[in-house]
Amino acid sequence: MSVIQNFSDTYEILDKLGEGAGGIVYKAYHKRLRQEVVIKQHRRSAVSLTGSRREVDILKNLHHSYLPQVLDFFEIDGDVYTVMSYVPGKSFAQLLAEGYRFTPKELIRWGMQICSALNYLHSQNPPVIHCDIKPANIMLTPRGDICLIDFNISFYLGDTAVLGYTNGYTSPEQYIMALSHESGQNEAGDVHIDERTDIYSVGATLYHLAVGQKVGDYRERINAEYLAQFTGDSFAQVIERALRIDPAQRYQSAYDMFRALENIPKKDSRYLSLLHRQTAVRIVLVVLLAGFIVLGGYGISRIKSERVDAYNGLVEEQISLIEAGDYEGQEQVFEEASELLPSSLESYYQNAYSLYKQEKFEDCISFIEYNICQNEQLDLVQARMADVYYLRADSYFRLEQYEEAADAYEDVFRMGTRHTEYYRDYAITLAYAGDEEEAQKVLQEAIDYGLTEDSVYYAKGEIENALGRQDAALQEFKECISITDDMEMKTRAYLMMSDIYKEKGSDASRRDVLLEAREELPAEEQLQVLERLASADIELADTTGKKEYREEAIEVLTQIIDQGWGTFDTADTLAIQYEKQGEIEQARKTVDQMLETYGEDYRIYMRYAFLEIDTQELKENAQRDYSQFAEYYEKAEELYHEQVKDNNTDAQMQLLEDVYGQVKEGGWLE
Amino acid sequence: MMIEITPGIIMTGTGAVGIVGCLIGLIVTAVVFPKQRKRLLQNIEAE
Repeated sequence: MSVIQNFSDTYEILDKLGEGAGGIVYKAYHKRLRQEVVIKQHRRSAVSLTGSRREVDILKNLHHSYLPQVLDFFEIDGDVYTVMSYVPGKSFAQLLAEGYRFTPKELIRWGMQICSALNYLHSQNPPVIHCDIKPANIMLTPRGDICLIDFNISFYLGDTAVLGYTNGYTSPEQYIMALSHESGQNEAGDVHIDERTDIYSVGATLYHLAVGQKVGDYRERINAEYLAQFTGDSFAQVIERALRIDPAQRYQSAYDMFRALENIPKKDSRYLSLLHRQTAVRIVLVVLLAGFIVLGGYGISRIKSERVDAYNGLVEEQISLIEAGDYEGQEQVFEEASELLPSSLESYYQNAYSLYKQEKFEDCISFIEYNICQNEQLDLVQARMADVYYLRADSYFRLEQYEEAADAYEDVFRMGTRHTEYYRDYAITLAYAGDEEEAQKVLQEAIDYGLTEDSVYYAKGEIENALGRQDAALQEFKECISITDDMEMKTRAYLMMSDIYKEKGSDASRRDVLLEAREELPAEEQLQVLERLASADIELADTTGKKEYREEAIEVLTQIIDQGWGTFDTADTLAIQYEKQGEIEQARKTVDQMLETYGEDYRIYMRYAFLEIDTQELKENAQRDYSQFAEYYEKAEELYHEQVKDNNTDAQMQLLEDVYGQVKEGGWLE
Repeated sequence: MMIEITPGIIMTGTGAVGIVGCLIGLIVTAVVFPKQRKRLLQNIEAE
């Protein structure tokens, strides 16, 4: 009745809910809050509330979904009273008693809620250890969630004497401490109560709810295989770990156990199997991705090298075509090569060399200055550019633009080349440009760099010739010819000697040196020699009247045509020589061949007309018939006006017109 | 202009196709696999 007197102003006691070792529990009505509450009168406590103000404040400020609200504390005559919100529903103990079968799914869910509440309590400072987790202290609310009630407040407030135990749920260390206090002897030693104590009790509770019976002797480990029959392997492992005798082997925190419960489905063998398969697929995809990246990278590098190989093949083809004289084909291949590797210089060099070989020196210079030097895609800082610049310089030289050639050679040496032939040709250019001193200096530089003896003689010959010292030049060229094995140089030396003799008016000497060249030089070097020889023979034939010179000229011109070097002019010259030799029929055959090879050209019909005149003049007057001549003339006239532009006049056509006029005036034509 | 099919082009093409395929595969697995796992977890929890 003293309880009622103390509480009457605030509370109205409704019912006595229970009484146990911890104290008496009443259901009451809080008049001010207008709600049902639970009041627990704790057994006489050795701890005073006034000395535990902080802990009391912590308890009063506890707010969690799965914990009852602590509403009030007070102490009366040494008894501590706690007031908490009333939790409706049934306890798990009641449900067990009613025969309720807890499913693993329910136990996992509620286990997680218990751990969540415990984690909250344990995270207080100082931690609130429940110390009395058991089915009876877990309520199942009408909402389907749990509420963890009746934690040992007195123990939290420091009264270790009230630390009790409940068989089947209490942890080994709590047993030891409780029994130690009961016996009055301090046998607990290093054993102490902490968060892991509650972990054990949660495990024991879940065990009981799953299996239907309490955990046996706390000193023995549970039979996990037996437990697994009710819960499955993964859940059994969680409970088994919580029930380890050594706290160090249990979950070290309620949060850890919460996560373990949460991950139970993920421990299922089917889930693990799926996870492994998915991981394997991902690994395979990543490995394949890496492999394809490597393959792609290697492929790109391979494409680059294939492109370079193809380019080099095209350059080789350019070189072959130039050697074969197929300059049109070379140009096509050049287009292809330069498109394939726009930044590479080599194909451009070969094209420039092709123009040079065709003696299209102006085109060569233009190509180098515009298509190469102004080409932003080309890498112009490389050794090959020295060769390109040399072609330009020598083209200027061949065009007899010696000043420009000398300037162009500066670009050659700016590239750092030590090509001795370039120094030689530069010396020659300087000599032709009139700078003897510089020419000798450069020649000496070439000798210092190792210019060969034959090249030295050749260069001296050119220099002497440029300076007008022709006899000295001839001597140097002879020396060069006598020692050199370089057929190209030998050819140039012979040609230079031929030109010098021509300049001197020594046709016989000119012919002799050309005949010697014809004997000494290989066939592929003989074109210019033969052309000059034919020219020399013709001049000698015209000046001396000796037939053998013209016969030789005819033979040489025929050789030129047979070698495949013949041009229109070669054939025309041959026809003229036949005509002058009186071999009209041979001349006509030559012109027939020209018509077949070169097509309709006024010069051919002009030649026919002249031959026809010669033919008719061999006849008696009465037998002459100039009608064919008239036909040829008219055809030549017609084509002449079509083919010759810009008021150009052909002296031979003028002559033919005069002849025609004469024939007409002579009445030979109707 | 006809492009000659060289080993380099074959390797690069295969690599490119493979890279795209693997990336698509990884994207698809990133979308599909979590759903598969979630569905299985739900089935396990329901048992």
